[in-house]
Amino acid sequence: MKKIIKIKRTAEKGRQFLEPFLYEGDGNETVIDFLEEINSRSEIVNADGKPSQPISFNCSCKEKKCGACAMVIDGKPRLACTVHMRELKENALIEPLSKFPVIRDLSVDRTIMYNGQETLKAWPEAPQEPMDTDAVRCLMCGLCLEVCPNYIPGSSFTGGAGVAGAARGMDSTDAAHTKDVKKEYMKHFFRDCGQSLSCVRICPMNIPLDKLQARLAKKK
Amino acid sequence: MMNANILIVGSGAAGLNAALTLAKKGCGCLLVSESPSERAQSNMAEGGINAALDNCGEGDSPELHAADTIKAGRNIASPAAVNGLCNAAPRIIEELSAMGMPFDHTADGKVAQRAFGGQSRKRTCYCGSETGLILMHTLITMARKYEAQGLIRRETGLLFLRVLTDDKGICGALFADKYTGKICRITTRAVIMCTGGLNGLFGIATGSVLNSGTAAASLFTSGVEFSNLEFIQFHPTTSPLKGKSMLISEAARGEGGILYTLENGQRIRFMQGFEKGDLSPRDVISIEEQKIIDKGGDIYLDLTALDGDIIDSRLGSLRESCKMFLGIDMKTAPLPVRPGIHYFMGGVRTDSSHRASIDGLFAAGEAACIYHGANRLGGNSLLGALYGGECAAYAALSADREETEITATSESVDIYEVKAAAQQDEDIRRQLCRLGVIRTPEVIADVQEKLSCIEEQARGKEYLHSRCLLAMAIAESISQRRESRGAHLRTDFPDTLPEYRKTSTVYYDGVIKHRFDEVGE
Repeated sequence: MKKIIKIKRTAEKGRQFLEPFLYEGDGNETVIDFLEEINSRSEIVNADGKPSQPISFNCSCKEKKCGACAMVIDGKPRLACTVHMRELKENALIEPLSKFPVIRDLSVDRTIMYNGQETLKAWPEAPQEPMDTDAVRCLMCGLCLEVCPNYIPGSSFTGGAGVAGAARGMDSTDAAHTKDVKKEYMKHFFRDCGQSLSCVRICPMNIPLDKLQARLAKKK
Repeated sequence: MMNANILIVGSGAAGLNAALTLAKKGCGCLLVSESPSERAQSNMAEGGINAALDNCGEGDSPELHAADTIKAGRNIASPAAVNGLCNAAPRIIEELSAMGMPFDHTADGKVAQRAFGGQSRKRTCYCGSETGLILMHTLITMARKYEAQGLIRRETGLLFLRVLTDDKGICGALFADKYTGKICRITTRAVIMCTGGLNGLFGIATGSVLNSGTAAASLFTSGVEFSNLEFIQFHPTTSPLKGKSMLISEAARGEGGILYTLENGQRIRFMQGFEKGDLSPRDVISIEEQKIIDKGGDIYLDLTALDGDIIDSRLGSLRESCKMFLGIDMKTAPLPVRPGIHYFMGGVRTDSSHRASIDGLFAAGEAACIYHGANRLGGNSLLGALYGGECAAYAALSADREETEITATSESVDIYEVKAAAQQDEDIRRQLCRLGVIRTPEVIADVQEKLSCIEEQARGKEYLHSRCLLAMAIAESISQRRESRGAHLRTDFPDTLPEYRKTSTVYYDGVIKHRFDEVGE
């Protein structure tokens, strides 16, 4: 199987451009395997035969356990380790997430998500019950914010990851803390959520964010 | 004013728990890592955490846990250290539960425990087959509270380059921004290295590709002593993916999965003659598998006879991973498996307080060599990381206190050169991978010779050269241990010999030096 795949790269001063690379294989490699293969070439040459530079991207587990490799593949936000090359069309596009500042190529800065967790006070005080099993599985990959029609880049809206965080924070026996978390949750999620439920559909861990929201709504 | 006294490198389970331990004592720390904690290899651990809670009513005790750990480690782990680990385990589970970690529970409300390889009792606590992920997210959630208070300060996106030393030992470390290569200098008197195993030196392993071995190689070149590098755990049930292998958790066998090979179309359960059968220690199974593979045979792990509900409730995410990455549904078909590099028992040589050979330097987690001897028990790695992080934090507290400061410098490194050293050392990888489950004298000698040639050519290329030196140290450790023990099997010395009931130590002082030390008390 041979395909040309276009990758959105970063040039001087942050200017973005598309660079074509040739994929050759049986289609069973993942997008991450393909990116690694390009970087391991002793001389990196693009599909036009021009010399190129290694591609910057994030990756760790390659098994859908860490959330590092979120990017937009063929128009859909996905974890790149879960997408096989056979699924990609000729001339398919691999891009960085669009709602986060691009650091370089396919690497983005998701710091805002971590700040959001801090704003929500997303930790339990004096927990006596175990935290919600679903809420502790959020990978902080950013796909929920990427697809959310209500998230404006740079805003304090915390998206699906915020729902999971607030659910962890509200599993507290400390009533004052629970109240605090609820207040921040209302302000940084509930107030601006349009209930599109796009985060529920995209979450790679299948966290039932709608059910968590329903549970949070009952908390006082 | 930030009161960050202690520098922790690496934010997986060991690093995070070191940070939490310090924060609970009111001491600040600086937690530096290449990536956020959500990306650490600890998230990939599946099976569980060992603790002698005796929730199955089998008469378990920390003493039995320690005895199993020492036995599996073939008597070369320090009994004092192992006792400390196993005695602390029930408390650690209790503390994790108190943090809100949602362990699987039995019908009567106790933490559930499952059978794991090489253990005399059911003592592995778990969260389905995502124990590492849920443990990490519990620690991350708790750490965030202290981050908000300013007690834990994080710097993410920095690659460790090297430690800085003066006449008193450690005085700091250099890091590079992973995107720009800009160097920053952090001055401190106590550094805890929690940088994981040496996956990247071998290329194909079950763990994270972030564990490149770069930090360990740098420490080794700086003269830090390493121990037991010859002991590399090959996990008996892995499946190759591109550029790594995928772990099929031991929990699959703990829940009833069986191993077999085919001979003339007949299923042969090759582990049945062994005391613990399919739940024998990992080294024992991997050796048997390798013998079959060397004769052209294949190995399968069969879970099709298991109750579908057990698979769904206890192995659900593992089933999903097998479907996605191997294209096989474990409910209906056996999984082809083979031994794959999974864990490095060796690492930075530490005493039972996790002090390394340079004053002010500490190590914990897979980066350190302390609890696992010649072979690690499944379920002891997360435990070792948590307990090790805690011990290292306490030990570092007593080290010389001085404010930790971060200073941006005007210097920078070519970040592609640092990364390329890890990505393009194919020659080193090829040689190291020849030192597999079964080691022959001819191959060991040949690998040593080839690595020497590579080393000569790599001189002047700092990062590649230090990787090569560490690779040579591994080969030297393998060559010097003229016996077979645990994960180290030599065809020319097939027996375990009492005179080698020792810790091997290797360090670099212009040349690679090797010695055997008595096992600590």
